[in-house]
Amino acid sequence: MENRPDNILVEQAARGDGESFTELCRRYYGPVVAICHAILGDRHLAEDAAQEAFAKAAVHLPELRRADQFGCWVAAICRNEAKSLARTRRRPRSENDASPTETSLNGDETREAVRMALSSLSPDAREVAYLRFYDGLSYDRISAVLGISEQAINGRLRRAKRKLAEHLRRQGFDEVQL
Amino acid sequence: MSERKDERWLDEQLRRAIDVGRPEFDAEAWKREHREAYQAVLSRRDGDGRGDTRPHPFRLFANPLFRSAVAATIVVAAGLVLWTTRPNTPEQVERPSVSRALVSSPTDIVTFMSLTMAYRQGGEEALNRQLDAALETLGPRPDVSLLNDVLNDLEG
Repeated sequence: MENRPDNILVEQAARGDGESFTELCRRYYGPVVAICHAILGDRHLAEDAAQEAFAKAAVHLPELRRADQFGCWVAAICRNEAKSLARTRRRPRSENDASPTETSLNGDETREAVRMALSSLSPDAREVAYLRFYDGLSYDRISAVLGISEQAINGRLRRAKRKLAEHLRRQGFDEVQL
Repeated sequence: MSERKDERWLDEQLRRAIDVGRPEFDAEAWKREHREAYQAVLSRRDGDGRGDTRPHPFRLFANPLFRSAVAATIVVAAGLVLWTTRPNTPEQVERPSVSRALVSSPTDIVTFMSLTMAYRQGGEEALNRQLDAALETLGPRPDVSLLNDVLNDLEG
């Protein structure tokens, strides 16, 4: 089951195989939570949004036109879900949240400054940064979720890092000279 | 500090800021919390999902072969409509239609419709021909004495 390509799992799930669908969820849970986290800035809300996104994917799976595009499709659903959640409710942050806006609880100024810098990025740039550094996702996996080439991901990530470096320099971190 | 070293430093800081632990998907909890959604997946087991032979309208129209077939059908249908509704050509209007006057049934020969058609297609000449043909087909009138006998019989 774990080695089967996405399109096979999607075909099987669409024929009523629940285990194939949960394997797809397991496979894309990390990237989907990363995308939601980039939008919501809250780990727990991100997980809630990801689970809702998979519920919607389960219901609308027969509408997926290209089985090999599941990652991209579920990412689009989770973006909508996260944006909708961001509009409707804001949950009190916990200390495990990696929010770019929260005040530092552990005194690590650098980490806080990096989170602030991340929040200043465009949504696309922030999303690619979260995907890359959330769980060390490979370019190949990021490509499956964003639906863009690895070169495009590399370019987007480099631009994001350059902006982060600029932001950090303005905050007094002179060691970043990208 | 070199650019490469700077990038490594930034990568490390990003990892520390973003990576808050690998999220694990708890399938059983998800199935419990989203029972209806999971049932929607399972309900397609009897051929109600992708394996279903019923084509999704959008998916069907996305097929280039289907689109070509639809386009060809539309072109053929439009051609047929144009051909059947085209105005009569001058050749058709002026064509002598003596043969049309000679229809099989005598009743048809003298109907208003057939006389009108004969006049339209060949003028008075055609109308006369049609009437002559009607007389020939219907034959002479019955004998007057025979007709009187019939009337007497009817009156008792």
